Amino acid sequence: MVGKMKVKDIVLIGILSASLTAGKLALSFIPNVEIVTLLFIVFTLSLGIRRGLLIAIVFATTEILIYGFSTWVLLYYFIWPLLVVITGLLGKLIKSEYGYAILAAIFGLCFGLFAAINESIFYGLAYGLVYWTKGLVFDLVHGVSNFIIVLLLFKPLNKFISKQISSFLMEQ
Amino acid sequence: MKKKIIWIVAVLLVFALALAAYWTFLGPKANEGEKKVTIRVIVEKEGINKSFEYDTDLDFLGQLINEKKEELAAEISDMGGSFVKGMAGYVADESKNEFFSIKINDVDAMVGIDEIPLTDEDTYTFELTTW
Repeated sequence: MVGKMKVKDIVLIGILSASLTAGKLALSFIPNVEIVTLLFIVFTLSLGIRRGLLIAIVFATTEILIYGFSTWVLLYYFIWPLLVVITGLLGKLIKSEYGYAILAAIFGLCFGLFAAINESIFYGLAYGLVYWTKGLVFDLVHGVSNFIIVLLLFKPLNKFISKQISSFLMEQ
Repeated sequence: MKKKIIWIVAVLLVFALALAAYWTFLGPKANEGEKKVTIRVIVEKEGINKSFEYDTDLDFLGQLINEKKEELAAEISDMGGSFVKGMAGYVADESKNEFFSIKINDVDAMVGIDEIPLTDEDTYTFELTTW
């Protein structure tokens, strides 16, 4: 039984990581509009923090395989697991899609700040500050689009995903 | 659904206000009037070291480069903002990690050409570099 669960975990983590990569690529033509945040929130609520973290690590690694190794690698190994942990911890407190929409908006607004902190580790504080202020418009777009996407899609997607995952895990 | 639409409209209004505040307080500021500026292009491996002098009343370096694109033999790509890929007929080879660094009076620029205000007597140097 334990062995079967582990195989199912690996399959789930692989499929869901792939869906994150596909989701990111599908919207990559619109700067800072993405569904990765929504998917991470939904996956974490259905699977918990531990599996969510594994999905985040596989997703970040896949991004490196696609785009190559650069400074953002460190950011990706930090920021997506951070979202998973925050979602997992707040999941018991948030009762509606509005709460998750606000969480996604804050995450989007702060994304550039975390990226700037990451850049300043490599290139210094002055560079990090310029990086952050010059990207504020993109952060605004990221925050607002995250809010709208999660507000509209969280409920139906969460219902669908949690149902599919439950039935998959229950199968013998 | 009506409640959600109201929320979305409210958030979009806040977004518009935040955007206006950004451009007012943090957006690039142009220097008005006539300016005499120099654009220098250095590609050492090709023996290119050219200077172009312009009298212009344009506000930003990006505007000037786009206007003088043919004379500068510049190649610009739009990546959410203008990005200089080629100058003086030489296009940076990404597979060799090449790019054009931008210096304003020999000091590294912190922003792209769209946000560099043209200033009288300034020299803007584009030098092929690798990262």
